[in-house]
Amino acid sequence: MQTIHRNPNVMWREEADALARVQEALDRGDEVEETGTSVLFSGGVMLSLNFLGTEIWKLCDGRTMDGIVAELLPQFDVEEAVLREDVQAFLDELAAKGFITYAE
Amino acid sequence: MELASPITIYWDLPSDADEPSGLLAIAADIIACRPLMVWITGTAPTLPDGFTGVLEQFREGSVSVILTIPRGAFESARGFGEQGLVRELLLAVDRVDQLDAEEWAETASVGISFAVTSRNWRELPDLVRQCPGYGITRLVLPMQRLYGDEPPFFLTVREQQELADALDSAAGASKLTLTIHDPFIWRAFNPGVPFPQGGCQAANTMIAIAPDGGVYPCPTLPVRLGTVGEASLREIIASAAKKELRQKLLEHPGACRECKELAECRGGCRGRAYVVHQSLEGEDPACW
Repeated sequence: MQTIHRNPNVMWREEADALARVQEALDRGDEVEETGTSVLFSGGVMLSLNFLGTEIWKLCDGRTMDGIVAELLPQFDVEEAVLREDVQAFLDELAAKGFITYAE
Repeated sequence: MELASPITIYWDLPSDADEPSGLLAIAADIIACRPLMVWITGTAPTLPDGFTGVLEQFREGSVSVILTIPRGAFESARGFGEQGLVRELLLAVDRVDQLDAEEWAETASVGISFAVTSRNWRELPDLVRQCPGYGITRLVLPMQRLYGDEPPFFLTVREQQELADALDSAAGASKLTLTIHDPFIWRAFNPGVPFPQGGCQAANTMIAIAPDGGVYPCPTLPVRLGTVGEASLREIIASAAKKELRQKLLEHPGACRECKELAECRGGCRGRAYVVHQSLEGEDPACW
């Protein structure tokens, strides 16, 4: 089973102000997809992740895809198949940029 | 993305820093801003007393340090990488023949900081060709410091093409991990590849502290936003003056609005243009 790992050379932080704004927006039922709540930096490349992206990123600590989806599913109002597809696409993008690695 | 607090802080040490408490106070001020990394540059032949304490403070604050020092100060920094005190150690050189130095021959983690000037830019192809032979895989072309009265350095369009052609012939840059801050020199090294940071990041992803404690949006943009010690760095970063400046930088220079290359260069280096025109509305002279 593949496990997923953050590249230890990536520097990152959560943006506390943005996170607070997102949580308020979520409480109101607003869309938050466009708001970055974390910043990743590696090799001259900066990435801004939205709330879901940040939550996925934080779970890339050696878990499997199933483990990440199981952790996220109770937090988001979405069908498992849709979430799994979104998570996989996001992880593949991070892997292509070298921000995460897959291991057997 | 517009950030509330920068991810990168450039801190140029005073050349006469002999009292560690002042440096420790600035380090604490920096850590409070939660940057991901601090680029510390020292120009004195030895590191200040107690400097290891400053680095330990950054390590405890989970801030990565990239330390640039003169070649002569290398002995005082030996082992910093192994101790986890710096993420990178860069030795400042300004001529290719300075690569031929025994002191770092056995230190694989050391990189080179090569400040490009009107006197040495034609050495760049030789530099990238020769670095791997000395075991050097990391090369930084640092931003020019324009806090003082130094005239801005830039290559004309014709010189940029000359450099691009010479680099193409040298074919050595692929063996190096490069950091290039000048968008036009970037283009000479990476023809057809967009500059990774997009437009000017002054006062957004970066902020700079000059040797006299002055806080600037970028080492190359001499608009003083405040002084550490008189206000905290967090206060300066959250100030209206900084936000207003950032807002201006988000708008393209007036002189560039009709230019067909604007989508690619995004106004170039705003600091260099500011020094030349004394305004944020002028074009980067590297367009000339």
